[in-house]
Formats: sequence, C-alpha cells, structure tokens
Amino acid sequence: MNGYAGKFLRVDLTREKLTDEVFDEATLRAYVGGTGIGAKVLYDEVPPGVAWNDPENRVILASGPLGGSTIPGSGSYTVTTKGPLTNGASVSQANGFFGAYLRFCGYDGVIVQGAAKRWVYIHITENGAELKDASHLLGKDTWETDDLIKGELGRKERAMSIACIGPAGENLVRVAAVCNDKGHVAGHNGPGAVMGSKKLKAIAVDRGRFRPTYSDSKRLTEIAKGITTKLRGDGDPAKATFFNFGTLNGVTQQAQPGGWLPVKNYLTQIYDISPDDLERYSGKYIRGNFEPKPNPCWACPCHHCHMMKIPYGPYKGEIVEEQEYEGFVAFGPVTGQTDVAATAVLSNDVDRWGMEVNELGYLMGMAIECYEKGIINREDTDGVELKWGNAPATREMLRKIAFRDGFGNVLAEGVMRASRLIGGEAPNMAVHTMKGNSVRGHDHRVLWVELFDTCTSSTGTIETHRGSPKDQYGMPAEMNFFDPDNVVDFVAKAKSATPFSDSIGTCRFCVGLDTRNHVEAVRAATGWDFTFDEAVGVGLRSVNLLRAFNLRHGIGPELDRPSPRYGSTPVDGVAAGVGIMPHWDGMVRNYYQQMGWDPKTSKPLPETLKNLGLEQVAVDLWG
Amino acid sequence: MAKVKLQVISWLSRAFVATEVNRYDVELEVAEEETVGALFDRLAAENKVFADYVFDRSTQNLTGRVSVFFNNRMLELVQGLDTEMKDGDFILIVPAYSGG
Ligand code: SF4
Repeated sequence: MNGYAGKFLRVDLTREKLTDEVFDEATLRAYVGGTGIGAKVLYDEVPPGVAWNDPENRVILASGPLGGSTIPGSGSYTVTTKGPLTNGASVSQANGFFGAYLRFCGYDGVIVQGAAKRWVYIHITENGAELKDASHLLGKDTWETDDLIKGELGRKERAMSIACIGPAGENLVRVAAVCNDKGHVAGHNGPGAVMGSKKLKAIAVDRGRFRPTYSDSKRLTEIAKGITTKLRGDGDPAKATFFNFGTLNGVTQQAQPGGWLPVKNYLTQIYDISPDDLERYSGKYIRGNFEPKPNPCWACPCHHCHMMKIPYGPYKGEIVEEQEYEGFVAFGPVTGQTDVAATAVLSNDVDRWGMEVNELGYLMGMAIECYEKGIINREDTDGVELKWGNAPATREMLRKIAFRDGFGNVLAEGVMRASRLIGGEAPNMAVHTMKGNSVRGHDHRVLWVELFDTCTSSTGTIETHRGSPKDQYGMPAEMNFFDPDNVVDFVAKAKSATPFSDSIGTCRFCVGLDTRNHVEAVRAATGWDFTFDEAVGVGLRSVNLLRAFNLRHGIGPELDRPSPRYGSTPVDGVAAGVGIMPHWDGMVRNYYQQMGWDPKTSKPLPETLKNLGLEQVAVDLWG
Repeated sequence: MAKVKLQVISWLSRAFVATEVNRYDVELEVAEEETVGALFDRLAAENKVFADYVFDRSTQNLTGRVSVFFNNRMLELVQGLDTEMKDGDFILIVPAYSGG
C-alpha cells in the first residue's frame, strides 16, 4: 500500500513473542498513524481495570505515512500508553530519526505488551526483530545506553536510532520519559515508567534499506520544497527566526517581553535577572559562545538542534544538547536560576536521566518553594539545600529523583502526589492539572487557551495548539483570548489540527499545523483522495477515543480543572488581578457542548461517536 | 499633540529598520485621545511590513501575529484597539505567543 511500510511489530514481552501485524486500509485511512493509531490501539486493547504498570498496558510507538520521506523532519513518532501521572492516556511526540528508521526496517510502528521477566531491549532490523538482554544497561543514562547499544551491535552514530529509558524509567519514576537520539524526548505522563514496568530498556532500530513507496513522489518532493522555502523565511520572518535559532529566542524575544514567562513556580511573572544575564539566554549569545555543532533530525534543513559545550563556570567543558525553550525555562526562571550555563546543564541532566523537563521544572519549583518557606528542611531533603537558583543542589536532587533515593523518592511521584506527601501548604504550591500532570513552559495564567486546553485535554499535556490555522477552521485571524467564549471557541474548533498533524509522522516545528498542506502530503503519499474533512475526522476520532478511554478508566469531568496555584490569579505582570476561575464552570460546559459531549458527564454523545464511526465506543459508554 | 513610545521586538523591527534588531524604539506623535487602533491604521497605511504583521486595514483588526501591550498591560485587558492614548504612554508589540 502506498505511503505505508505495511506492518506493525507486535512485541509480547511476557511470552517473548514478536509478530508482524497488518492494519487494513480502511483502518489506516481512519486513523492514519502516530497519535491516531496509538489512540485506537490503546482504546481497543487496554480495558478499564488495567493499571499503568499492569503488563496488559500497551506502549505504542508509531510513525505515519510521511515518516522517512523527503518531508522535513519526518523522523518523528508518537508514543501512546496509559500513563502513571493521570492514570489515563499518555500521548507524546519526539523527533529525531526513530520514526524514519522504523519505516526503513519495514515497520510503521511497534506495539509493546506484557512484561519481561528479565531486562531486555528490542533490536529491529530490516529482516525482523529480536529481544536482547539488557541487564548490563541497568543504571545507564539515556546517552550511555545509546552509545553502549550501538557499540555492542557495531552500529555507527547515524546507522541506528534508539528510543530508551534512563534510570528514572527503570525506577518507575512517574515523570520518566522515553528518549531517542540523545536529546529527543517523548515524556508527557510518564511513558518511560511504563516501559520500565515492562522491563524494556530500549528499542533499537537499524537504518534499514527498505523504503515505503509513495503514490506521487514528485508531488511529495514539491510539497517538501515548499515547506523548506517557508522554513527559510520566504515572506515569513517568524519562521526564519525558528529556522536560524530554533526555540532559543523564546525567553528573550517572546516570553520575557510578552509576560508569559513562568517565574519561581508561578509565584511571580517578574524574572529578576540583569540585562546581561538575560541576554545570555538569546540565540545570538548561545550560538556565539557555546561552540554549537549542528545535530539536525532526519531530513531537516533547520539550524535548530545542536550539541554544544559549556563555555564558562563550574560546568565548563561539559557537552550538552542545546536545550529547547522549555528546558531553558524549567531550569531558568521556574526554579529561580539566572545563569544560562547552569540552566543548560540541569535540563540536559533531565534528558540524560530520562525524565520530562517541564514536569521536573515544576517539581523542583514546588520543592524549592516549600524549602524556602520552611515547609520542608535540610533533614527532609537529606542535606540538600533546595534554594532558588542553587544549581549544585538541584543537580543532586535530579539524580536522587531518577534513582528514587531518599527525598528523591517523594519527588519521583510527580508534582501533585509529591505535594500531597509533603503535606501542609504544599498542595497549594503545586502547578498541575487535577488529573495529575504538570504543565508546559509558559505562565498559562496569561494564556487562557493553553490553561483551559491543558486542563481539559485527555493526553497528559496540551491537546490543541495556538499555532493551528484559524482561517482553515473558520475563525477570524485575531481573537481576544481573555474572552472566555473566544477561548472555548478556539480550543473546540482547532481541536483536531494537532492530533491529525501528530498522526502523519512529521515534526511540528518543520511542517507547522497547516492542515490543508498536510492533507496534500497525505494524498501524494498514499494516493487516496483524502480530504480536509477526513483529516478533521482523524483528529476528532483520536480526541473522542482518548476522552472515552479516560472516562472508562475513572477520570471524570471533575478533574478537568487546574490545581489552586495553576488556576490562581497573577499578582503581578501584564494581567495582574485577572483570573480565569470565575469563568471556569461555564467555559467547561460550553466546551463539552461544542465538542458534542454530555454537559454533565463529558461523555461523547452517541451521535458524536456515530458520526466518527465509533459505534462500539458509543455502546461502551452508553450501553 | 501627545507623544507615545512604541517598542517592537525582534523580527517586527523590520517594520522600521532595514536590518533586524532585538528591540527597536520609536517615538510617535499622536492626537490627544487618539485610539491605538487609529494609530495602527495610520502606521499600516504607510508601512507595508506593519500592515502585513501587525494591523490588517481590511479587517481593522490585529493580524493575529502579534501581542500588544499598553503601559505593560495586555491591550485586551485595557480597551483593546479602542484604548485612548495620552502623552507618555508606552506600547509594546511582541511576536505572538506560539505554543506549548
Ligand atoms: S525542527 Fe528541530 S526537532 Fe524538528 S526535525 Fe528539525 S532539528 Fe528536529
């Protein structure tokens, strides 16, 4: 079939059985790949009563019909599972090479089930796959694991891609991530812990010689060229900024002047930093001083990912992956750090231990605030002085979390649970949704779309993206996002754009959320007369399946809310005194209604499900 | 007449200078009680970059590509484009927030 490698690899770790599985064309057209297919497999195969660490849980890693093509950034993949932070769906994307190489071995994805009796990793080649012993990899971080597996299999750096867990995943740390290609992370809602619960250390994929066929390769290449031209800034200086600097200028040119920088665990929006220190967070300074070496993903023309060297201070000489905006924020302003070098080292540590950087930022932010306010003391923290901006202390605590050592064992439970274990005022200081996941790297109290979406999402992170093309979804270019109705309109109307985009196997930085263009690319790849409405259907199928999944797994509408700190009214900054909570209940009702869900229970209505071809889900929910 | 300060960030500076700079400040003369919308309409009429990225004359609205702040408060939380200016006011335009 054009556009697809043609099969998934199913790995039953309990029985040590590896089989190929084929989805029929109708299923692929309805779910496409990535997030879409992940949501379907999760819903179909993980029934209520299966806990996140039950062998019956699944981990689905899936590329899509553009994976490994000439489309920029088509090495991406989605990880879907039931995650330990929310006890509901966990959906995350990572870029790199893994998705492309899977397809080069003849697989569109991998479905993992069961639990191994011994630690193993999966080695996938163009001739099939096998399980290998991983006992010698225990305790190794994600970079060491990458090097060791390539070493023992005799593969050069770019001859293989490895998605693996670090010590955090092995130790079932709830914020553990799946990491690939040294620095690419699928981490929301603890997928690394699920892999750990299955004693699966890694999935190593050769750069095989298989290539999926495409219906119209010429057209696909034209589309790829168009995307590259746009990325280079053709008429779009915003894109050129990304092309040249990735997300590096996010702190200095967007969040700081825009007032949506999260500072000291949401205590303030004022980043107390000197102009010189702030300038060091800029792309110009980092690229000029950190000896950057380009490290782009599959088929990516952008000057985005780099490896770099710390040029000064106590960490001088350390090699780190150039962090994303979110890494710079989590271990910069969120934790009261002003030294960019320390920030880069700490967020890189999080990647290496195999954890999710946003979660760790708010986790450390909460712990530091508790320490500074005397709710916990040195005795509680095993002598670690958790103060704002104390890099060595933070570094030590990150290690302790990854190994569940001492106080790290408390924090390893994630922000919500850790704050409850600490007790007292701590739960009022924790930034998270009431489902249990923490949030992304902005102060969402001035970004109501993101706050509302994060709380009502079923994925363990945001589900809708501000960059969705408003014109394609029938919205005006400019909307007042402090107007509760506008916020709900946007989240509901743009709902399908992100999950569809995450189903085609490409990096969002590269291809954006231009649904119409994605549809064109899917048509060229598959030869289907695929339409915009079908793309909307793919996205909505995933959204409704994940909502139904969560409802059946005990996550009700009462959890579609922020924690007290996350939903608090900013005390300073550009929206001081304006809070979202007075509008909350009405917004949620409006949202359920727009989504075609029951206004009280949030259950997708039978009609909504039937329109998406999800008749069985209607029976499951409504009888 | 009154004078207001306008600051633009990063690539938006191309509206006023040939080479992009991190921040660009410009002082503008406005009529007493002129609205931000009226000022932006004037700027868009004479400045194509401003029209492309900041203010769309055909809809008489922002383009959706920028965030605007008035005296360090989000413009939406003041009076939006109907906000009236007086001497010494400060308008900041930042590339719109993009995701996450
Ligand atoms: S934009 Fe960045 S993350 Fe995306 S494919 Fe390119 S290098 Fe990778």
